[in-house]
Formats: sequence, C-alpha cells, structure tokens
Amino acid sequence: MDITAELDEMRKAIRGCSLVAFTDLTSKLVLSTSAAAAPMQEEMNALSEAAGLALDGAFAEGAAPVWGGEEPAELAILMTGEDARLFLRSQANPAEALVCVCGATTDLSEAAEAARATLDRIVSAG
Amino acid sequence: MSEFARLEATLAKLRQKERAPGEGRALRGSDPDALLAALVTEIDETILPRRLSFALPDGDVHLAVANRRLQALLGPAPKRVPSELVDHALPDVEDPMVTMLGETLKSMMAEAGEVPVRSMRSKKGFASDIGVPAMQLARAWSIAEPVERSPSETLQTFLDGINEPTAGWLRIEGEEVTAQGGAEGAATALGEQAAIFLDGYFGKFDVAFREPALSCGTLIAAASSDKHAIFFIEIGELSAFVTAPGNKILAIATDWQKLVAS
Repeated sequence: MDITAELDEMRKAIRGCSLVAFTDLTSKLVLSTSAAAAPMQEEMNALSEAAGLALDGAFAEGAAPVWGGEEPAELAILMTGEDARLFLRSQANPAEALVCVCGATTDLSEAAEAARATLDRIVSAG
Repeated sequence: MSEFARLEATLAKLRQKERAPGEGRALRGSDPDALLAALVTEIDETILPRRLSFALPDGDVHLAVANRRLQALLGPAPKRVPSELVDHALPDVEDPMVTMLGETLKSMMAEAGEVPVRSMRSKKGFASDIGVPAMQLARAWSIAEPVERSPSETLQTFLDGINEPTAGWLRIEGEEVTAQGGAEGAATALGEQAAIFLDGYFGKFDVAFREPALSCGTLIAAASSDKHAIFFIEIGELSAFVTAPGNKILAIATDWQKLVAS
C-alpha cells in the first residue's frame, strides 16, 4: 500500500486541510506525510510532541477519569480561532496515529471520520 | 465548603504561576487606533483584579484593571509617560488624566506592531469605586467600535447553545466557577474532573499551543462513543469545562469553532 497516496487523498478530501501525517506515538517519529507545502522539521516535531501529549501524556491522563479511565484517549483536537489539529489513535495498533492540520472552519466530524477510515486502511494493510 | 473548592484551589495555585512566554495574548491592530481599541477590549474582558502589562516599543506599560474598569497606570513606567499619570488612581471618566492617558498610550502605540500582553494578579489594591468602565473609556478615547463580541458574550452564547441533555459544563472566571449547567447533581463530579484535567493542562499548555491565540479549545475522547469526553475552552481570562458523550462532543466543539473561527 502506498501510505503517502492514502494521506494525499485524505488531505485533498478535507476542506481546509493542509497536512496529514502518519506517526508512531511511542518513538514520536513521523512515518509519512502529505502536505500542501513542505513542512519544516520543527513543525513536525511540534506536532509529534502535541500528539503524544494529547493522546498519551498529561492531557490524556487528565481527561481519562471523565470516561472511567479504562481505555486510552482515541481522539484529540487542539483548536484555536485559526486552525484545528486533530490527532487520532489507531484502535488496531495503539502506538500509531494520524495527525491532521485543518483550517479554522474545517468540518471536524468529517475530518475525524476521514481520518478514522484512512488510519484503518493503513494499519490493516501494514 | 464550596462544591468546587478543590477545583478553585487548583485554579488559584495554577494561575499564580506566570505562564511562560507562550501564554501568548497580544494586542493586534493595523494602526494605533486599532491597538488602543484592542487594549480597551482587554480591559473589558478583565474581571478579577489584574496587573495587565503591555510590551510597547518604549517599554512595558502596566495597568491596574478590575471589574472591567481601568483603575490606574502603575509604575514603573517608560520615560515617555508623564509622571503625574503614574500610580494616579482614576476615580471616573471625568478625571482629566483619562484623556491624557489615552493620548499617551496612543502615541506610544504609533511604532508598535503586535503588543504582547501579560496578566498577573494585582498586588496593589484600589477601592472598589475607583476605575473607569471600558465602555466609557472607549467613548472618552473616541474609539468607534471597540468590541465586536466580548469573550464573555462569546462564551455565554456557546454555553447557552449546549442543549445536549447528557452534557455538563462549568463556566470559570479567573479562579471561580461562576455558573454550571447540565444534569442535576453532576456539578461536584465535574469540579473534581476539571481539577484533575487542569493540573496537567496548565503544566503542558505551551507544548500544545505554541503560537499566541485569542482562544484555545481542547477536546479529548476515548474510542467508546457512549462514554463521556471532555472539551475545555479558554477565551481571554474566561474558560469552560464541558463533558458530553463522545458521539456528541464533536458537535459541541463544532459550535464553538463557528463562534471563534477567524
């Protein structure tokens, strides 16, 4: 499977999406990226760090009591008035996740649904 | 003891820490008039006693603000500030110093681009009747339309719009829970959950939000869509902690997004 092609397809399908990355949460490594403009390494590092924080780190740990704490965070979104960064963990392989940088008006439900479908395809093929 | 005692104690402890430079509020405007209007908006959003510091090209200007009123310009002040303005308590809008202060700030903003803002607990107390309300300042300083929709209005519009019966929310101003909504009896649990979440949130805020932003929203959900998820938002000095089932929380976050998207 061509992972970059999957990410490209997802990025183009979501209005306002500028970057999609497939990342390993454990190693904090970005494994594959699709971006409208080549991202700086600094930006990718910051996204990896934010993904770890939101899905495994202090944010996730602080949120877990709300749902009983038996399962890890699956979805996290960090949003401002200017953008929304969506992080989605794979259910099949909890160490892998998709990162999606969207515009401020991107439909979040649509983005989450597209990310879930893309991630499932990538992980099940891998 | 208040049902939110633990949450409020956590907030008091955390807010005492000055956020690192990434805290990130800044006045933005294309000219001095727009920057002055943004400063008035900042005053209008400040309810608890605060020392607001504005990093202008001539040096930092510190204002004492409480209850949406400007109380005084505090020392130390840049040399360009007339000495009679420094630490002069402003009793009301009729005080001639009000006009002088507006002119001084505007002239100091002439060379400014973005003006970083810091907010600290105020150590200097003023009598409660001291201060000029933001709207009167706007008129005195000839600011046409200083406020489109204040953070307070934005937040209230959002909270009023949550009609999901299984959702619960707390509205937080500074260190106090000022309103709550949702299922009866859920408020105490919400307070506990918010205290736990905010402990981690404030500690790592700068990792999540590196760029200055007027508002920040954080959604965290588990895979089980029937289990509750959280949505925490900050706008100005106001915040809200919202919980709802995972299959409802995205719609709630989308409503917030529509209100703040620029």
